[in-house]
Amino acid sequence: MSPEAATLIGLLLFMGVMGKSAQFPFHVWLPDAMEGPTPVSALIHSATMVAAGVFLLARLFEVFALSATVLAVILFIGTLTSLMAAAMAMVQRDIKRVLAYSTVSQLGMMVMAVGAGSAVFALFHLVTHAFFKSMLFLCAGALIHHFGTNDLYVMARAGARKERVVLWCLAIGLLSLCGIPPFSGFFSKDAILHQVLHQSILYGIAGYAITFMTAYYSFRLFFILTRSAIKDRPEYTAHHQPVSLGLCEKLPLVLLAGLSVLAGFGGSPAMDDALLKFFDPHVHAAAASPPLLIVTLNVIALGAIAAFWRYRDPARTPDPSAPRSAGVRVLERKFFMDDAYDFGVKTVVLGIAAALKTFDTLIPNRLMVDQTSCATRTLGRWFSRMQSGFIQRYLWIAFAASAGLAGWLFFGRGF
Amino acid sequence: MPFPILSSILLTPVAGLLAVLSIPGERKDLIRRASLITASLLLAQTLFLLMRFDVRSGAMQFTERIPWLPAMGIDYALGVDGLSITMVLLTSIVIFCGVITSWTIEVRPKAFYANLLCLVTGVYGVFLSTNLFFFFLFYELAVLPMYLLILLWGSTRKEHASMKLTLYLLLGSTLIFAGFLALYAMPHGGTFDLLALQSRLVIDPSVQRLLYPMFFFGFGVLAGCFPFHVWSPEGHVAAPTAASMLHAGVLMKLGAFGILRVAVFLCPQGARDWALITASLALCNILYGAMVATQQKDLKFMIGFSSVSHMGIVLLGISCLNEAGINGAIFQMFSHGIMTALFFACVGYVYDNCHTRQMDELGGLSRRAPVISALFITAGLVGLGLPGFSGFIAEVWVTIGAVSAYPAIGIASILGLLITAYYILAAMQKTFYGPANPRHDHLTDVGAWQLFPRAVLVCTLLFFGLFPGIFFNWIGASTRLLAAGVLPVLGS
Repeated sequence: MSPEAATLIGLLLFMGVMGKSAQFPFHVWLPDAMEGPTPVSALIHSATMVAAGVFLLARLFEVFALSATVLAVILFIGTLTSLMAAAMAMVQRDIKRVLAYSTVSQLGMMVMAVGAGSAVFALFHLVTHAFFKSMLFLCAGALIHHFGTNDLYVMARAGARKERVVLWCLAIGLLSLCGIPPFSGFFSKDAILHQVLHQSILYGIAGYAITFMTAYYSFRLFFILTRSAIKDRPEYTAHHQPVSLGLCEKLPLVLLAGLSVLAGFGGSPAMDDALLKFFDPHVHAAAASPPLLIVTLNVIALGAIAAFWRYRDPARTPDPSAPRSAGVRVLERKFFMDDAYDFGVKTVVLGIAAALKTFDTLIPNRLMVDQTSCATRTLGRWFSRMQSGFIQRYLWIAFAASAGLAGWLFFGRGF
Repeated sequence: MPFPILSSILLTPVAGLLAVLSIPGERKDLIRRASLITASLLLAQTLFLLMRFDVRSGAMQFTERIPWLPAMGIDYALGVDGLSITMVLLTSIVIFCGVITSWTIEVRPKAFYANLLCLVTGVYGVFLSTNLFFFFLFYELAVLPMYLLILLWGSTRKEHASMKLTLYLLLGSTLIFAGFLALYAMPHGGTFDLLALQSRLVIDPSVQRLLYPMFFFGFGVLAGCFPFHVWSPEGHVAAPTAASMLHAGVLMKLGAFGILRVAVFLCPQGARDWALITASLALCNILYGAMVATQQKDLKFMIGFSSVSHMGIVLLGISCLNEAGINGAIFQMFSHGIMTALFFACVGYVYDNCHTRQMDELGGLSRRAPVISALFITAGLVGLGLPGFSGFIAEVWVTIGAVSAYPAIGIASILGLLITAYYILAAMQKTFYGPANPRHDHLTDVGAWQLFPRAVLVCTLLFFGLFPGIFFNWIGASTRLLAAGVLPVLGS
């Protein structure tokens, strides 16, 4: 296979992955798909279906690795996706949307891992992420079911902090998402950060930026739920009698929380990297490096502190309906990606379609069919005029034709 | 002499026609039952034929020959190979389902069923004849009853549509007939026998270059080839349900069948010379048909243009002139025939009960009629190439064939899938989901008797989607033979 072919094939396959695993610029469908029922979001949009793209990357890693260009593109797209999605997650008010953007961001990290040359770490993060993210979605679902709203602030006002079991599970999930030891996300994210940093310092810095933002939106979510208390604002009152949560809603949470805590150890030296070796027997797990670890933990702490600083005082909770700065508005408009798609599909594609429909009416119908029938009728009318029944006209024509013929015979010979 | 099963298949609808004509017009149920018995007999005989069919041979089987005008080389000659036997199966399934779907017709059912059986006689005749004279005779017989079916039982500008359809198809027929006469007049010609012509004639490449487009576009009119497709959406819309089913399901396939049977078979060199042009036109069909379908507000118009788009896949497969492409084209002919029949059967039901096909005036029907909605959605999913149904396999094979023959056209044709998914999902959403229009609150779901034919169609799509090997087994040997006639010179 020629290098160009390898690059082309790799890029085309990666396009499919970008659609399935919600990578920029094909990520817009995933947050919108959160309209579906929460268990579906938990199962499909966080753990299993979107994982198919990353799985394809890992399974066909040898194909992608044939071309350095492809790996560079994968790394770039993964990083960009992860950064953008994490930024957008920082301003969402809908609990499922925060989680949806965090899913996109984490998928971006998995793609980064592949781009940086490690399919195994991508799979490792895929597994740990699946546990804690599906649990987070189920927590969100329990809260939504309980309070009848998706809005974080409304939940907080309605008394989210009293739902102890759900909140504890939520906390475990969020800590895992941030990558705090000893929760599972720590092991897999740390491995990816290591790998990316090893690849390039620039991407490593991007990785730390993602880590910072992840910590920020995770703690923001938790602080809003537990600390914010918007007084005297009727629009933040739940119109819904709280539904009590039964065992069948709590048990899966607890089970998944247990897995979220434990799964990470499968990829740690404590268990001899059993999980990593399961994916690839010849894997070389990077040795933990204490200085880097300290940097990572500091970045996470910084994110947490930033969130805490903004939401520290329940009485001074930022007013969510106050006018926002331009930066926040760009984030809330999703970097105008949806608008771009709207324009592309509604104006450009459907515009072409409308033009083609007009063409269909004008050329194949009007010109080719109607004009043919019209011409046939006109010809028929002309020919019917020839047999008008007026003898004088027949004689005139006969005379003129004979004269012409005689003229041609007489003079034509001379030339 | 073995039992002449092909003649039996060909004469069954004739017998049914005579039976229907001899029943007094007011005994409507008897007429319907007679037609159903005819269709059931056809289906049974087709299945019997399939069981006896030898898949290892690509040649004509079950041949029959009765001299008719031997001096002019015109025999009554029948035969089937893998290509035509699948088309016979398609016809039998669609007419069987069409007869039951038309149960609700109360206006002059006698004339309706007589026309339907007459039409189907023509269709079988085209698929079974191996003599071009009879081929042409049956080809015309298949087109003309459609005029009456649309004119008498149709809707929406039916006079205009029926006239347009018939004249357009006759225009194609004149090209074909001129081509047949040219073949007859050639040195060593003097016969209308297809196989004799193929073995006897050595047609000069320059002549083939003239002859092939006559056949391709002559038959292409019926296959809905761009830019000669305009009769088809309008005809589909105007025709009554069963006629639309037969029309889009089977009649359009006659065109594609003719291209394979006559044009490619007799003029392989011409096919090679014209392949790039026909493939480009087929690509136009696929993309253009799909694009225009997105703009339609009438469900039947949308399906009509989707047929244009899907027939483009057939034409693209044929234009590849390789085994994968032709295999895919034949499979797509079959799959599309069943799928469109299902589409029209569902839209027909909606139209009969809601008296409108405008998507804006429908909406939320899935709550009132979940079964018919599910059936329509199934057809839609087949249309957008969902794996598990036959359409997927067909499109994959055509794409494989196209990418190896014309990479750019093959890749561009994949875009059609995306547009198809868009218009089908949009139509599904507008019609069956969303806020319900209270005007259609009286809509009741399809009953068991009317569900039956639609279920047969769904099962067929699913069966050949899950076991496509059976189908390829039937057509494989014939396709290989056909492609072998075209391929060897391709490399030179």
